[in-house]
Amino acid sequence: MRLFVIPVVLFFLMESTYSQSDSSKWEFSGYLSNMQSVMVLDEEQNWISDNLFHNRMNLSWFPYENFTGVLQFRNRFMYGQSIQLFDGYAESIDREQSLLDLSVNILEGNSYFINTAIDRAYFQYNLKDFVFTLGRQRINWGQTFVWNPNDIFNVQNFFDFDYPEKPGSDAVRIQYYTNYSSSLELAAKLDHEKKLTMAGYYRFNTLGYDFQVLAGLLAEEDYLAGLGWSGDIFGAGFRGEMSYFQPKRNFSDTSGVFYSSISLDYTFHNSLYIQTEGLYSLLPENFNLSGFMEYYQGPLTVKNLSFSKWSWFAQLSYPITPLLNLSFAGMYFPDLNGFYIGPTLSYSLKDNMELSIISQVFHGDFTQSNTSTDMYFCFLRYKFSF
Amino acid sequence: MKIYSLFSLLILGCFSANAQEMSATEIIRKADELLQGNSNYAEISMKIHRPKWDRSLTMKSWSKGNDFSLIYIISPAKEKGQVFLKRNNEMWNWLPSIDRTIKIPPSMMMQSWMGSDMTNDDLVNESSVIKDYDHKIVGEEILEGLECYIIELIPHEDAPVVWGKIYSWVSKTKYFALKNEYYDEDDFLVNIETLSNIKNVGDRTIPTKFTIVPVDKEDHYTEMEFVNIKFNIDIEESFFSIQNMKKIR
Repeated sequence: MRLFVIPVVLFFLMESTYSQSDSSKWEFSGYLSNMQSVMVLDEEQNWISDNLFHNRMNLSWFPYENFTGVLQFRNRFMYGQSIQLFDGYAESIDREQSLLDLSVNILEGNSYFINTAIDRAYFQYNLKDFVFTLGRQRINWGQTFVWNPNDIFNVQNFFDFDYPEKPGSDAVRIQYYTNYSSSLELAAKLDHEKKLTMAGYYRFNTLGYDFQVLAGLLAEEDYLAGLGWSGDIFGAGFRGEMSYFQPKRNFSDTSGVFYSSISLDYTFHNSLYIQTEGLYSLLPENFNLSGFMEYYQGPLTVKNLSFSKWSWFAQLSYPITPLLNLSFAGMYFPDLNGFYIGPTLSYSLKDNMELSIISQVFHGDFTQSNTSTDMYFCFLRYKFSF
Repeated sequence: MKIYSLFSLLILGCFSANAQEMSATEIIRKADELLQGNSNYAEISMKIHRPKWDRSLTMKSWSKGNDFSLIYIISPAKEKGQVFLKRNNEMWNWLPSIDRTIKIPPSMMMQSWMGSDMTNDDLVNESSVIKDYDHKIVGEEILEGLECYIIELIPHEDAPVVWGKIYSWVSKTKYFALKNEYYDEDDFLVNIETLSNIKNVGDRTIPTKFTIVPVDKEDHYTEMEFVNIKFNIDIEESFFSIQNMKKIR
């Protein structure tokens, strides 16, 4: 960080104080949640217990028509055994993947930390058919729901359900809308190692489908090309993404990585929702993640989406009552004899209050992992949105 | 799905004009035009009441004809800022928190919100009370001091409609319905809708509050109210674009 953040926050706070008379120039929202978690990683079945307060603040500023400023940050106060047991836990929370360090551990102890991190801080300007966006933003080119080979600007982590917004990139983005549904985009970001990722992107709509193609450079190391689509077959959502990454250094050899994900989703009349997705990965022989824990914590680039040739996902979601929703997600990795099961129960307590019980169970021969092959996580979360 | 469409009810809600000289179908066509206008903008609040809980939803809506629609969710807080765009048969959902445009397949349009009687489809896709039904004047009655025709609507066999039939009480002089009764395919009365809060909203007078009560469920109702509505606003087709979906508020 660190001093950089404070002026930005102050700027927004001061502006908001001065402009309170004109409330339509400002929008404010967010949430506050508390989550108790238990993790079981070893064969002795020791419980590792943690508690997390998570506060998100979204601030939007509309000083003129067509001009928007956005600042969003989150505050986390966590205490528990993970911080004691795992070396560098609090530091890993403070780790930035983007160019600017906009995260700070305000307080840190043996068994707790308080972290504040800005994950959106950008200005956006609409000029006729053009949209210019500068600053920390999320550039999301995904079409499927679990694995997104086209979503090259983001760090993916499916398992981090408590952070649906995901981190932003320090980027510049120009969008040109050629008609109501088509657009041409150019985007570039620098990561924390000052490595450049840039790409061009074109999306268009034809025959009831959205299509997209993209090409660019990933972290100055790989050329990439991809395509994706969203449409439907007999009322079911049919989506897919493909990307190919070829290292610049070995441009002519076979060290490239290819991912393809395909997704189907269907909602029945009784609101039962089913979704299934498959990911095919063509990886070079020496391509490895360091372990399953790394996969759980989220790969660092889109190039590390998977560690097995096939990955399968399925999810059912059903409102047992209008207020109580049950969902059941599963993943299967045939090469590793591994699976993941994630049942979730959510209960709406009030208009803006929700209680959830979330479980995550992992089993498999995750060979490079130092942890046991069975892992259990259970979370109880109370969330208030405002 | 229990109640087919609050929005289609809206269309039913306002039959109009010189009923003596018009056939039932013409009345309905007129009513459709009265309630839709060429285009409209509305701020809508919806409340779902059940014996042990209430939930509410507020939104802004822009539409042009039957083919173009844009809905901005104001509350609940968790969903605030989400936008739905409909162009002809295609629909998209904008989720600002993750910078994601999701193309909504036809099946997902049937998802209901909070167990309400409203689905994504209802939000944007009015079924056609003109095209999908046969209409007949079957009687007269006085409701709320207003003389009404009772009009029977029977759906065509192949129509994508859940009702077996609908009866509608239409004011002879005020040109809108005061009550609608919805029957299932076995001729059982399922829902009664009452229309109230009749207001002059600028260029026309219409009911602004719609209450739907399921007949066999005690203390259940869904209520929809137009807090603000304007007709024949100046709006181009190009307003209903992905670019604008991300910008509107």
